[in-house]
Amino acid sequence: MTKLTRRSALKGGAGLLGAGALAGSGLTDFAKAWAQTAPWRPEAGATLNLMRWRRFVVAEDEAFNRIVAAFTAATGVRINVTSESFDDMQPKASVAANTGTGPDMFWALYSTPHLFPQRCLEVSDVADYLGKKYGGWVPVAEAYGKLGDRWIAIPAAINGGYINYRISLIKAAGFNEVPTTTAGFLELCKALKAKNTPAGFPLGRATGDGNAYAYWLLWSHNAAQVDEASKVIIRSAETEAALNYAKALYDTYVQGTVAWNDASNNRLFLSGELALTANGISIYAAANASTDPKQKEIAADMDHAYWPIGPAGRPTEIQLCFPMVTMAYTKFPNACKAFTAFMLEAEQFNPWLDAAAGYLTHTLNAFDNNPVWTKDPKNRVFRDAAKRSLVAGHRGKLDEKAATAMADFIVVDMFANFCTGRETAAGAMQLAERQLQRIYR
Amino acid sequence: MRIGRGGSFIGFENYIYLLDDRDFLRATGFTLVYTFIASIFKFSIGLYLAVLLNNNMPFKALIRAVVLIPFIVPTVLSAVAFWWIFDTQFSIFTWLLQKWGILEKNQLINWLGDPLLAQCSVIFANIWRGIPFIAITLLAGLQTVSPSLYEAATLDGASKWQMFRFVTYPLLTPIIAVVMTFSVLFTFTDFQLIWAMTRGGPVNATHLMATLSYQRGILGGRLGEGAAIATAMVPFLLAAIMISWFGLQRRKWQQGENND
Repeated sequence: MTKLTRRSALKGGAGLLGAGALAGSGLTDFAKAWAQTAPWRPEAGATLNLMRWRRFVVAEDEAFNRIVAAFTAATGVRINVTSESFDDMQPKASVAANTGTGPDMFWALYSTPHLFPQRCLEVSDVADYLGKKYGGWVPVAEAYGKLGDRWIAIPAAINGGYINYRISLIKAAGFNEVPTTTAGFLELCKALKAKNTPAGFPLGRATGDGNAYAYWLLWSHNAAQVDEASKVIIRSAETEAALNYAKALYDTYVQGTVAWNDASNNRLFLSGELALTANGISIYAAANASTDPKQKEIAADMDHAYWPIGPAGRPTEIQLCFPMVTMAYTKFPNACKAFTAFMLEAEQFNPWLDAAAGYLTHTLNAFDNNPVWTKDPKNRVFRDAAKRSLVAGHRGKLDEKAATAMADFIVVDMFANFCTGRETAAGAMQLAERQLQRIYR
Repeated sequence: MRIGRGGSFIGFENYIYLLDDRDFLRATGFTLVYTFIASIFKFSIGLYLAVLLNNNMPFKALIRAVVLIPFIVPTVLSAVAFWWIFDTQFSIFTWLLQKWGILEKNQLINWLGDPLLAQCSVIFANIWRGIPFIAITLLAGLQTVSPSLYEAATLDGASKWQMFRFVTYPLLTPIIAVVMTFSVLFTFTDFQLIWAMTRGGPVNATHLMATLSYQRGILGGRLGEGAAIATAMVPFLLAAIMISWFGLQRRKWQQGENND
């Protein structure tokens, strides 16, 4: 018996609406034609459960559900989509992998598939099919999707995080744009502080923004947690330089950044009390979508910039990857593969990317020309998120160890320990080294 | 042992590692301090409230119900409310202090960003939440004290304090023992409040053993280490139970001190 709740009724309604809209748009026709020729034939009577991260951009979620509805219409495969918050995705996926039951597919975060690589269905055929058709994968996609020669997940998209700033406030501080070097960036932050309109970056339990900031600090100074042979090299002169740079920045920040979570900087920026931070495009999207004139004003007065380049001499950004993982225990592997491929076909992916309004960046080169990157110049930096991003392990392998180090906030804590004065530079590095050595033994 | 595969036997390696782990030692220390301070405050304020509520006053039932509110509200909701109350920029406390002129106009208090202040903040939240449980249970205990004892004491010329000290308190001891055992256990194993307010931050200063165990075992994927931290809580909990258990066995505790 299906339990009918208000939620499921709404969902069902949305599904019907979606299907209705599809019939008119011709998406279903494409989907049917696609299903005839696709290399994967879904198993008879297949029903899939898919768990995804909870949406931040409503239109993106709706576009995703339209893809699901089109797939169901064409193949008869029902897909139940559930969503969980960012922080709950990885524990849920880990438990499912551990117990061998749960959703057939996870649209997960970062290197989640590398936490349990042997529990992921190999999807090399899907990756090859898509890569050949759409101009190849960007390098970071290969890094996140592959373990050795096997693809264990399809990195469907990247979420870019970049510098968000208020145009008028950096002008008032004497800058026309965000400096492209770390040294110039520090000057900007100092000038903002002097004008009493400070910047702020999270040094707290912010899974996305906090790790992005901490790894940028580390890598821009040519430091890394491990070398190519997975040897822990966090205790180094480069790390110490990164720590000192971070402390100088921290002294210019708005108060409270060590207590920030992922939502804190969005909130403060939208309240007008933060001049500069790093975030996805969600602050801009929220300000734009708001009907409040004050928010509209912030949207008009803000722009995005790349992360500054440090002594390392090249972009050293870590961007959030969203890999689509099929669990090896699924009873319907072909249906899962068919859906993964279907979702990334241009007919589906282009409108989806457009609906996400810059929140998602493609990982297949052919989508560089999507109109989302040209119709609003403030979206443009996000187009390059996948190309500029380094992977979680950086010099070391992108494996479960790299994922664990990130989930445990080891590098974030190292910077927080030093910036708050709780540890000396040597003490902070030693603490991080000890924890990393345990992970990388 | 990691999530998603078989384990291998490593003996006491996890415990040996933890013994030398600064974050674990800090979490253990803070768990003890958290439990100790919160319990003392909860007990004193709870007992005081119970005695107050035991008096006859108008709207007695309504006031007793109101006192229960912090206990009825789901922990996560009240924790989120506290998260706002202690927000660096939007804190109502900071706003009030600025209004009253104690703080400068643009001076902020870094409630959850400063390790010590964050620790005080979460303890405050825990005390706020825990008082009603103690107050209402002790109130139930107070109701069982026969009024004739107070009449007798009044005839003997006992002061208010003497009545409390030699009549109320001895008769209340068994209930106090039970309530405090529960209260200590709940406080020691607290999770939701910390997780919703600070996630153990800033710089791991507010991690309790329960939250550290979750962070390492589930989020970090090292089940064995997480389990070791959880297991390390057992001796402390056992000790707390033992104290009240053996205490309860003694007649002194049951019937007052001068009654061996």
